[in-house]
Amino acid sequence: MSLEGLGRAEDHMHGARTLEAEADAIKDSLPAFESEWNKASVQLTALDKSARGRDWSHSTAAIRAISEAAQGRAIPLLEGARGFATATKPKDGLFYMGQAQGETAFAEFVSRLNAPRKVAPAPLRSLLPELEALQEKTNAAFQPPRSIDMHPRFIALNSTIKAARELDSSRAYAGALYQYLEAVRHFGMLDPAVPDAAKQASLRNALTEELKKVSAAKRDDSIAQVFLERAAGWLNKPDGAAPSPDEWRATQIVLQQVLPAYYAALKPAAPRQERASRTATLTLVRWPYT
Amino acid sequence: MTTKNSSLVPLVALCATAFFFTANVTASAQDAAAQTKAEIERLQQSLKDKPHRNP
Repeated sequence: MSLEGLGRAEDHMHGARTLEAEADAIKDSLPAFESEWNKASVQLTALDKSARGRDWSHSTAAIRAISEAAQGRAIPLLEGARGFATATKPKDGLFYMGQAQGETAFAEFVSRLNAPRKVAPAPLRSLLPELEALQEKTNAAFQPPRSIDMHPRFIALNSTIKAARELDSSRAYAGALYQYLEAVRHFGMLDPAVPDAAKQASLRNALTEELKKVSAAKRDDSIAQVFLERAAGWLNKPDGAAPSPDEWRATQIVLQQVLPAYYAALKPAAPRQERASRTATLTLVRWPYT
Repeated sequence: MTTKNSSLVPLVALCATAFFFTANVTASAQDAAAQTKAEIERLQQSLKDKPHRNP
C-alpha cells in the first residue's frame, strides 16, 4: 500500500527536517531542547485530543486504521524524544520530536482522504483477549537460540503488540486491529521455513482469489485488503524482480495466519477465562518503537 | 539516526512506485489515490528543493 510507504516517508522526513532546522540552535543545551519540546508538546497534545474526536462513520476501516495507528505513535515518540535528549544529548531528541510531528501530520492527511465507505462497516471491537493471547505466545517463544538470532524481530513484535494495546485501550479499534494483524505477521515470521516452488504457485493463486473476495465483499474488509495488497506488491514488483525468500514467507503468513486472524477478530470475542490465582504484573519500560 | 536520514530518497521513490502499482479503480479510490500522489510529489519536490544534509 502506497499510503503505508508515504507514512514512513513523512515520519522520517519530518524527523530529518526538524533535526536540520533546530540542531544549530539547540547545540548541547538541554534547556533549549526543553523549550522546543514544550512547544511541540502543547501543539501535539491538542492535536491528539482533536484526533480522538474524529468522525469515522463514513470512512473505510483501512483509512481509519492507518490514521489511528499513525496518531497512536505520535505521543510515545514525543515522550521518547525527551528521554533521548536527557539520556544521550539534546540533539538526539530532535529527530524523534520531528517524527512525532510527522506522524501527527500524516494521521491528519489520511483522515482527509476522500475514500468513503460504500459497503457495510466492519464490526470492530476490543481485541484485548487476542492481544493478551498473542503476548503470551510471544513470551513463550522468546527462548534461545531464537530469542538471540531473531532479536530484532522480537523487538518489532513486542512493540507492535504494545502499540495495538494502547490503541485498543483508547478505543481506536481500527488502528488496534491493523496493529494486531501486523503483530500476527511478525509472530509468523519467527518461523524460518520458506515455501517451495509448488507452494509458491499455490500461494500466488490463493492471493489472487483472496484479493477478488475482499474487493467484492459487501462488508468493509479494507484492512484485510491492505495486507493482501502488500503481499501482491511483494510478488509483483514493477521491475519484474523475483520475490525474496522473506517475501514468500511473509505472503504465506498473510494468507495463512493474518487473514484467519482478521476474520476471527470480526466475530464476537470468546468469553475470557478468569485466572484462578492472583497474579502480579511487572511492567518493564523500554523505548517503544525501535 | 544517520541510517534513517539517508534512507529518505529511496523511501519516497518506493512510495511512488508503490502508488502506481496499487492505484485502484473506483472513483473514490481514484480521489484518494490522486491526493496520495499529490502528497508524494510534494515530498519529492521538497527533497529536490532542499536536499537533506546530515548534520
